[in-house]
Amino acid sequence: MKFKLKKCLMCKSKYIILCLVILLNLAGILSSCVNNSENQSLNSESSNEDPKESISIMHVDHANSQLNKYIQEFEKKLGFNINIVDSPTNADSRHAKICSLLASGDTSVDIYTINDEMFSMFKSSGYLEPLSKSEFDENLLNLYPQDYIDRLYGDNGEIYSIPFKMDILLLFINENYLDEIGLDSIQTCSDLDLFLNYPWGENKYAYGGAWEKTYVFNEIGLFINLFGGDYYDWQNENTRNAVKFLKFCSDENITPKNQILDQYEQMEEKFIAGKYGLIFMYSGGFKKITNASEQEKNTLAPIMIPEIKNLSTNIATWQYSINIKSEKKDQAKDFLNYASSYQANKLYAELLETAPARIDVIQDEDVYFTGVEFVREYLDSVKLYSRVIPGESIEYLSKMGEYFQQYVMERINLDEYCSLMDSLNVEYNVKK
Amino acid sequence: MKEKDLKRFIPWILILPVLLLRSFTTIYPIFKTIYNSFFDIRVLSGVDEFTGFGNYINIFKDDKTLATFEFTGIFVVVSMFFHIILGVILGLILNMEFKGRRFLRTIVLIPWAMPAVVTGMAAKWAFNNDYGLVNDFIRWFNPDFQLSWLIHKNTARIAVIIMDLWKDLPFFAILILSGLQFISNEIYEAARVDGASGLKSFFHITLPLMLKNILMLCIPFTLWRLTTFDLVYSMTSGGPGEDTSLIAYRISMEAFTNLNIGFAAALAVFLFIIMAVFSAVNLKLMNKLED
Repeated sequence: MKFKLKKCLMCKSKYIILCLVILLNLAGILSSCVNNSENQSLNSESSNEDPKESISIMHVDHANSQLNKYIQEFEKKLGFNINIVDSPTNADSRHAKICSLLASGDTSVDIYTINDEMFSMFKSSGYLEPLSKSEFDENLLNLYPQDYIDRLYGDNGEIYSIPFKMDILLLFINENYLDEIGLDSIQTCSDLDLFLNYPWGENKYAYGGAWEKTYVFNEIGLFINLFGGDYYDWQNENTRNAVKFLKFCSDENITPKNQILDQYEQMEEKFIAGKYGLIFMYSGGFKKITNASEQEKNTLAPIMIPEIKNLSTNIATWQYSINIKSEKKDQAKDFLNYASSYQANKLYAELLETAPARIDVIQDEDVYFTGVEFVREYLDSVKLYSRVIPGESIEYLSKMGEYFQQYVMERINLDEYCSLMDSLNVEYNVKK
Repeated sequence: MKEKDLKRFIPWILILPVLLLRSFTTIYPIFKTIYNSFFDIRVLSGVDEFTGFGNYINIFKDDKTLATFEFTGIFVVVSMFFHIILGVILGLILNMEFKGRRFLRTIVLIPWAMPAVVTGMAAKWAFNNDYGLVNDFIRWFNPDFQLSWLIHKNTARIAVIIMDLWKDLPFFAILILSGLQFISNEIYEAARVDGASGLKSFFHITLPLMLKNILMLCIPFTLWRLTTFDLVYSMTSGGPGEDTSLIAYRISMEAFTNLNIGFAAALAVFLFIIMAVFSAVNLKLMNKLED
C-alpha cells in the first residue's frame, strides 16, 4: 500500500514537472513577445517621437555619402524624420526586392526610388499611389523632358511619380585613341568610319557596349533612332540597318562579342582600363569616369554624337513614387512635392553631383555638377527619346536581349530576328 | 483518461510548438505553392484566375522552359557523373599515406567553404578570354588559344559544370574519405596475401563496400544540383540566351522578377515531384543493395 502510494506520488510529480516545463516554454515564448512589445514602446517613448512623424525611403543613392545631407535638408524643410533604407546595388536584386515588397503589401517603406523599367511595370499594377495633378505646381510638368511627361501620365490622367534624376546617354571617347589615329575629334560620319575600322591591335576595340540581355535594349533603341529607324516597325529599312550595323561591328571585331555578358559596370571598367575607344554611357556615370580618368593614363571625355541620320539619344530618369500601402501618404506627398521644387533639384545636382530631372535647373548657369556643360549641350542640340518599355518590362527586355544575342551569335538571321521583334511588340502590346 | 493515454499525449504536447512553427514555415508554403500552381497569377497584369493544369501544360509549351529542363538534365547528370568518378579518386588519394596529407585534406575544402555567389563572380572573370586565368593557363601550352567561354552555348555550359565541380567535389570526396576509413585494413591485407593487385582490391573490396555510401551521397548531392541557383545567377545570369538557365534560377526569375506566381509555383511543384521520384528510386535501389 505504502509502495503504491509512493509510486503514485512519483507519477504525479513527473506530470507536474512536465506540465511545468511546458508552461515555462510557453511562458518563455509569450514573455519574449511581451518583452519585445514593451521594448518597442520604451524605445519609442525614449526617442520621444511620434512614429507617424517619420517616413522611410528606399533610395538608389544610399551609398553616396552626400545623400544624408540632401535628406537632412528635406527634414528641415518638411519637419519630419526621413529614414533612408538601403537599396540593393545590383540591378536585378534591387528590382526583385522592390517587386516583392510592393507585391506583398509591405508598409515599411513609404517612398521608393524607381527607374523607367520599374515605373513601366508598376504604373498600372496598382502598387503606386496616384498623384493628382492638382497637388503639384501647374507649370511643373513643362519643366521635365516632354517625351517623358507624356509617359508619366497614367491612363486616368494621374501621375505616379516625380523624377529627381536625369540620365542622358552620352558618347564618351578615350582621347589616347584619337592621338593614335591622328584625329582631333569625331565630328563626321567619315571620321567615325575611320575610327571604327582602324586596326587597334590586340585587346583594343573601337567601340564597347553593354550587351547583356537585359541591358542591350538601350543600345538597340539608340542605334535605331540614330539610323532614323522606327522601333515599332522592324521591317523598316533603317531599323534593320541599325541592327545590321551592330552585328557588323561584332563580326568585324570593332566591338567584342563577349560583351554579351556585360552590364554597364563591366563596360565602364573596360573603358577605364583603356580597352575601348568609344562607349555610350549615361551621364550619371560621368563623375566615375572623370575620377578614373585622373587616376589612369587614359583621358576619357564626352563628345558630341556625330550625326548619322538623326542626331538623337536616350534619356532615362530615376523617380520618387509612393507605396500605395504606405500609412504616411500625406508626409510622402509633401516629400514628393518638395522633391519636385527648384531648390530640391538644385540641391540634388550640387550635393550628388549629377543631373537633376528638371531642365530649368540644368540650364541655370548658377547650378554646377560634373559634366554640366555636356549635359546642357546635349539638351540643346540632340533629340532626346525616352526608351520604349512596356508594362511587363523585364520579361520583354529580357526576350528582346535574347533575340539580339541569338542574331549576333548567328543562331538566327536578320529576317528571323526582325520577325521575332515584330511578334514580340505585338505580344507585349508595344505600340506608338 | 487513463494514465497510459495521457502518457501518449505528452510527447505530442512537447513537440507542439515546433510543429506549429514548422507548419507555418514549411507545410503551409508547400500547400500554398501547390494551390497557386492551379491559378494563373500574374501580379503585374492583375490576373488571378483558376486555370487548372494550364500552368503545367504551359511548362511543356514554353521553349525557354524546355531549354531550362534540357540544361538542368545535362547539368545534373554530367556533374553527378564526375562527382562520383573524381570524388572517389580524390577520396582514395586523400586516404593514402603521404607527407602533407593532413594539410591537403584541409585545403581541399576551401572551394566548398566559399559562397557560391563569390565563386560565380570569380568564375566570370576566370573564364574571360582576355583577363581570365583559365585561358592564361591554356596559353602556356597553346599560345594562340582564344575562346570566350561564356558566350557560346556549349562552352558556357561546360564552364558552369566545371565551376560546380570545383566547388562541391571536395566535400563529396571528404565524405567518401570518411566511408573509406571504415574499411578495415585487414581485408586489404588478406587480399594482398591472396595475390590481389591494387586494382583488383579496389574493384572487389573498396567499390562494393563503398557502393551504398556513394548511393546515399548521391541523394543530397543530386538534390542540391537540382536546386542550384546562386552559381548561375552570379556567373552567367542564365545566358547566353537561356542556355545555362537552371530550373531553380528560372523559378526565382518567374516568381520574383516577372511576378508570374502561378507559373513559378507550377515549376516548383514539378521540380518537387522530380526530386521526390529521384529520392524514392534511389532509396529503393539502396534497399535492394542491402538485401
